[in-house]
Amino acid sequence: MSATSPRPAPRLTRRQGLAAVGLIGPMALLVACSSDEESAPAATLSTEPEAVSPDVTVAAEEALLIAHYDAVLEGLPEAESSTREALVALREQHVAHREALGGGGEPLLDDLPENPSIASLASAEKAASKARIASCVDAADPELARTLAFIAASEASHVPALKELA
Amino acid sequence: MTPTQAWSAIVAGEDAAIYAYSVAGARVSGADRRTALAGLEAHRRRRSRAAAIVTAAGGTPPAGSPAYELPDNVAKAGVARRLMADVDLALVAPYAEAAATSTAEDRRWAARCAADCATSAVGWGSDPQAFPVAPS
Repeated sequence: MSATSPRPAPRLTRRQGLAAVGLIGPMALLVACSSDEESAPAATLSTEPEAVSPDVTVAAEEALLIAHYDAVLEGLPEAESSTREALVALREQHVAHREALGGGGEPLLDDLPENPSIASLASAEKAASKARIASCVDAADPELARTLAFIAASEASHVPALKELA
Repeated sequence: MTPTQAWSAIVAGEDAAIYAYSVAGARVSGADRRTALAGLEAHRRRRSRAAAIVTAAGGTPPAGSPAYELPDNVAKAGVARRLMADVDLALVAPYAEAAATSTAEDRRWAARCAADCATSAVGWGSDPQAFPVAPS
């Protein structure tokens, strides 16, 4: 699958000296548009006893990740303040994710690893990103799919950040 | 936004990313150069597949611009790295949008691309983002 675009080879000369904003501006504009086109039914908190609303499930998984961060932070030596700061910042992003999913769900704390570490966090983030992509595909509501795609992206990007800390 | 609009935006964004990587990738060296070349290839593959999705839906993929405005001092490795991080980050939201407007395999692929672009951006030195998880 090589590129088929007929564009001329990019020249390595400097372009007009404007900021990268000029480059990414058009894409940024597109972000503002929301999708009304696919009028799939809005996600409803299901009243059917067997169906668990996917956002509650994922919110609980986010809560577990938060607990995982807490466990690692608890065992972190006082001296490692920059590591602590970085972990707290990543943890906050999971709080945001959980809130975006409605905030419900109880974490299955038994699923925490026996020896929580930055490495186990990195593994958990990687697995979480994969799980969010799967949930994204299954989401009936396009808005939930969008949210899950964002969360998958955020969590995937936590992996290299954690590996740098390990 | 229709799926065709969402995927056309991806084609345009990937075109910009291909251009940025082509220029910035030439300004870094060693392991960064290899990463940039792999990233350039990934952006080309994504552009190609996104264009195929637009075509399959009966649309016409947008033509790339022959040139894009770049930072003035892109010759500096640090600026080049930042540029690659920026174009990667700028693609996350369009891919999330494409995920929202698509279904099944196209949606899965869009979500994966969002994750890959966000990961790549952190590799270039961007701080990890929570991302706007819902439209405001």
